[in-house]
Amino acid sequence: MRIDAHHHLWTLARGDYGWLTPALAPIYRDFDLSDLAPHLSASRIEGTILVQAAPTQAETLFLLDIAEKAELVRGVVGWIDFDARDAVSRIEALAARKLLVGLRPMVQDIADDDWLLRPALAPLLAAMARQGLVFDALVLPRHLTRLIEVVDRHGDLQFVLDHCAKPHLATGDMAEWKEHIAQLAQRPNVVCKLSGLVTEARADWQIADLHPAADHVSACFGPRRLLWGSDWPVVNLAGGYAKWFAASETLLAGLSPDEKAAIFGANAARIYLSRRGRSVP
Amino acid sequence: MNPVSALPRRQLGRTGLSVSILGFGTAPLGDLFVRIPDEVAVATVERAFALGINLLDTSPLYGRGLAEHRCGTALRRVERQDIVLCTKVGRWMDPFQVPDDASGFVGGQPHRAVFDYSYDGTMRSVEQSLLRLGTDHLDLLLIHDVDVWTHGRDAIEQRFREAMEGAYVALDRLRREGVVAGIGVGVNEADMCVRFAKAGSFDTMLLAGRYSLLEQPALAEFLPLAQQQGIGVMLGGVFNSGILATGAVDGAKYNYRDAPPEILDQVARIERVCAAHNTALPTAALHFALGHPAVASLVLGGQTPEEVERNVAALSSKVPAALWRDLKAEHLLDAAAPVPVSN
Repeated sequence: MRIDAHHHLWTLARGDYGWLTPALAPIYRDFDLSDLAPHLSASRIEGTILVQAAPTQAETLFLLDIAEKAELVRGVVGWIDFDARDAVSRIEALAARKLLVGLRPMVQDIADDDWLLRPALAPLLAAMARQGLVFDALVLPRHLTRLIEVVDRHGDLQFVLDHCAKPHLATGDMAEWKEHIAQLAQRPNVVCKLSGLVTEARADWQIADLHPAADHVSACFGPRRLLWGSDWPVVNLAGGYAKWFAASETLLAGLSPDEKAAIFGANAARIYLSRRGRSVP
Repeated sequence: MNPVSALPRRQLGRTGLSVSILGFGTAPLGDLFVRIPDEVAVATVERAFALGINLLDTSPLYGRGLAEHRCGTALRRVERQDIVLCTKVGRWMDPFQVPDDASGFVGGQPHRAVFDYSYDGTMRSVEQSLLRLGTDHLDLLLIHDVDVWTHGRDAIEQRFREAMEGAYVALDRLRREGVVAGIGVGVNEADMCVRFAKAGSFDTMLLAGRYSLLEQPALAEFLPLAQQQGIGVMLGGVFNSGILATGAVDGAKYNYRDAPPEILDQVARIERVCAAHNTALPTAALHFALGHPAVASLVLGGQTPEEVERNVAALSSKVPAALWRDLKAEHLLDAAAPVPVSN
């Protein structure tokens, strides 16, 4: 089964999407599953992982409610307040929802760059591992060294690097990113989402602009540890779903059919859906 | 005395619960403004049940637990499953501190009410309520008083966030676990109902004072939204703190205070139209509030069994359709307000 391992849905009136402002005109409107359906069928994608977009647990409950009514959504990556005193019991309570497959603190928006290293996070990440939840790492290149340390501390927790850590494709300033990605990829408990690159590239990006990043994560993680995701509707800021999907097929053209099938679905099923979520037939 | 069939029931939104069109509100049983003997309080609840009222609305706030204790006593004398029991969260009681509020509950328990919309605070409040009420489940659980009226403009955003991140998450869990059948909010402002309805998945809302014969701020946005989402609406304060029950008399109360002159004037004009149609003002007030299809029940308080009887009796009188027409013609009623069709 082909799986889109990373997309969002939102209803602006819910009122907790701090980052989503009228300045982002193309995506400053409601998006629901009926908006996504045509893109999925055009790309022959039959399952998705729905990812949080607001730093509230209420939004996670909203997404879980959607997922429970739509078989298409195989799992939800949600959010809890990792700084709450009762965070461990919150994780345990939320884990009662089987379609919750992971959690994603919005690290890129947290002022303290060392937040990931706080000792207080250790029991939370241990609780996630016990519950079979995946840690989605929404980080920027400057966080990668910290992420490597956390990944080493929690060998029993599965990490997913979102959007390749958003390399600076537009400026080409990627030497450090390449080095840290190579180090991160040596850790067995982390995989990488092939997603979110086009919104880091220059506005009129061509496929050639994506090659440096895509080829590097491909070489470092290999075809069994890459998960393709659309990052829709955010991808609408940089060409849209179809253009990114077509570019991805070109970027991965050198791989075998088996390897491509892994990146476009089997890897997401293994990482997210083998212990939780809606299992893939 | 068994006029159960006299009081119709309506479906409460999508909850699957069927509630009598009059509910019994128990703020007075918390010794609000006046102390009530225990036996009168319990007899009042029992009379409400006997008259066919199956919706019992209470809160830890009312007498800082006293109203829930009294409800618990009355509940033990009936079949639990016959009653739709509604209580609220947002404050828990600290038994080691004395009351420090000027909430109007002159009697009540000697404990301090602590505002707390957090997850843990909500769970603590629910456990306290279950013990006072003597039950292992609630039917409806509402987040209480997240409104500007209670917290002021400066604090409301913070309280709203606390409630959505804490109390809402706790209530959603309790709903999933079957401890409660439906969750909602109980507030004094229609705008807050709209905000909550958009931010979360709620089954019911109890709105006080904002949809009555005197004013209809809930008409434009909240009630249509409730219908669309299947949120069952309970209305409190349909007499606007008394003035629609007493009429425009000296000392009539509006929004918990003495009514200002312009309100007295408007009520006097409404009264004149009602009198022309031989309809008592409270009867018109009750029928009007029930005329909106989103509304399932009116929650009315009562201090004595006789007061409950009067409320039920007020509803049993018919109201001529011409009354609504004339109120609208004199611009005393929003022209867009739906009016009862059954009479």
